[in-house]
Amino acid sequence: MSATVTSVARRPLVGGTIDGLRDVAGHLELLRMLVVKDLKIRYKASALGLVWSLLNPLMMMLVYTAIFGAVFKSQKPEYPVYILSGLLAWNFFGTALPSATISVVASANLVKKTRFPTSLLPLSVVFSGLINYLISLVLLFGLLVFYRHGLGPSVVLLPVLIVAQLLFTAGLSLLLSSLNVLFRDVEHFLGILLTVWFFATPIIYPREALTGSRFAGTLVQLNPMTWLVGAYQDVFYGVADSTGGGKTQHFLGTFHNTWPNPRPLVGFIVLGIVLFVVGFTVFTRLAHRFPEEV
Amino acid sequence: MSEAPSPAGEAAIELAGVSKAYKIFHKKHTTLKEAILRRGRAEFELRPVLDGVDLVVPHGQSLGIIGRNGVGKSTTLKLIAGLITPDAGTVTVRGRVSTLLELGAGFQGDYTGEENIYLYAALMGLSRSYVKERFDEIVEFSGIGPYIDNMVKTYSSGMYMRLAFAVAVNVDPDLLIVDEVIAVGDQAFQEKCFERTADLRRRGKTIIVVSHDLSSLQRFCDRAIWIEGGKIVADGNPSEVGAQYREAMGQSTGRISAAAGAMQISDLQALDNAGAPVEAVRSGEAAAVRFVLETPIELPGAQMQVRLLNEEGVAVVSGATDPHLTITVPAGREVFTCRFAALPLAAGNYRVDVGITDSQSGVLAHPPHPPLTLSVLGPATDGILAVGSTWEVGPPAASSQRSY
Repeated sequence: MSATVTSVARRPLVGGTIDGLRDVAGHLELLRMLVVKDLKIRYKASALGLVWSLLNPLMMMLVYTAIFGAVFKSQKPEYPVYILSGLLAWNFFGTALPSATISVVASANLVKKTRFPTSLLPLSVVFSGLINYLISLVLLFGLLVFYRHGLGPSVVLLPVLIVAQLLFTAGLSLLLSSLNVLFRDVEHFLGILLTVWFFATPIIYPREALTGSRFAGTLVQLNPMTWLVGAYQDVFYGVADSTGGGKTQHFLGTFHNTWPNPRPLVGFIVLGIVLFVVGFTVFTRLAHRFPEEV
Repeated sequence: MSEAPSPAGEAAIELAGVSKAYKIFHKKHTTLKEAILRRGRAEFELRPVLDGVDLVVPHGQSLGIIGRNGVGKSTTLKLIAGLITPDAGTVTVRGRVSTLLELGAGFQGDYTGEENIYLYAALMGLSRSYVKERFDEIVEFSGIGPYIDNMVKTYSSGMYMRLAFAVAVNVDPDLLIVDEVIAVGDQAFQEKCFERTADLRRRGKTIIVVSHDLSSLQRFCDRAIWIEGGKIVADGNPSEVGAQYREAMGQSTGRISAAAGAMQISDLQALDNAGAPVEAVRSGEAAAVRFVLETPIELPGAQMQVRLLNEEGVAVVSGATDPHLTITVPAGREVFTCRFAALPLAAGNYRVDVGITDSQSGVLAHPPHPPLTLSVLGPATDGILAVGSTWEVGPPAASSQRSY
């Protein structure tokens, strides 16, 4: 173990972000413990444990399928696949973000009394959300098997989408969790924002549905989660549409696959990287105030 | 694990011109709206704790810090531990820091003893395998035995502290920071702690201890500093600094105790909402108690309390000064007012009691005789408080409700 030198002055510091990342890298065991703790709370507290985290999106999928399939007479075939490919990704984002936002405040006991990279608190929530998401993908793959809905070559983009979503979610979590220490309004505001955000993302309704309304259509087009969810839908569900503009490739008749529209996808990846850097920088700049503010 | 982590000549700890003040909020702004609306009208006062402290602690030194409550001893430790940042100046710490700042800081109640050992080490950035090697030693040292598999919220405070100490000293820190916890456990455990800390010192580790127990400091430390008024006022051999401190404390305590007889509370009166002296107030209204304190000498660290006692002698209302904000009362006459936002008391006569105390000398001044009585007017009630009540008859259906 090499010696560490900690120098603290009033205004830290040029290169603080790099130092912060190094500090995180030096505490990977802590990250692992926090993730395990978070997962244990999620799965151990209830009798059904893991089943709940699969049952919830399954029920949502059935309800939305019933509404849009029967009531609105959606023309999309295999609608549950469409819903689930966006819904699972949204659930990762929409559940990790609020609990990451309150993570620093909720661990006041640790933050006040011990010195460690506090950015691990929101990051651990995001990582446990990621693990939960990967587990929940079992549901989607099960559905694909059920419908004999094959995947084409664009599935190689799946790891890219997941990493980009991880960066995006982590960046926003770092930003909001640090701001929430100073302004507790953030967590309340976020609750409302996420509700609106969910409906501004084409998850339960077809992407084409809003092209009629200029305002709503523009809002949805500018929503980065639309870019991400659209890419997931292209990979898992396929079928070219007006927003994606990608080619539908049918292999052996039953293979659905569309390459995601590169512009929104690249846009989301860049946004994810930028948001992560900004979020981490803001967090490390504010972190020295946490022990006295939480 | 490389021993002797530092190049020669570099100190383990350097404090250069360190100042720290705490914001004492009268009303804390935690919402965005308030932060925007009240910008520049912050309702807090800055209470300086450290004022330009310079301190260099070489590797391998064992330093004791002494001083009265609230003079900045714990703040110094927190600055060195990196928990807080100075307002001015720099704090440089070389090496891995292990802290024992308070009873099991960082322990999670719903973790078992074993999980907490790993968590503590993980917080310090140590790997699991590193702790695994030392795990048996830590458990053995703590003397907790099979309880290591129980959640620590079931531990007694002694067990808690023994485990905390065992982890802190056995993860091989370069710098060990201990606040007031040397007197842990029984004689045998204390002896073990002493030996382990002595062993750390022999291996060139640095130790910082805050304690009021001067004799244990003399045993643990080879240097002591005395902090007073935000500055280091004495620095040197623990027995010499300890003797100076003891003498100064004895003097001031003696002086205050001797002067206590000459202190006087006078002009004790109750005031109504408008500030006019009254003998009676209506139940539920605001009221205040005002008195004059006359003291021949300055009183640093005074605490004050005003109580209203009912006819059974029960203190129904108490207004005390914040224990963390001791008041310095200047020599001479000074007027003090204690305001109560509301006195929702049962009608009756209340005796007004005033207490002035000092943490070192105890009670300094007594209220005058005969005691002041404040009458509270209002409808009679059996309780000690009169907060009003309403009654409803029947099931809670809107149509059949009648209020009385």
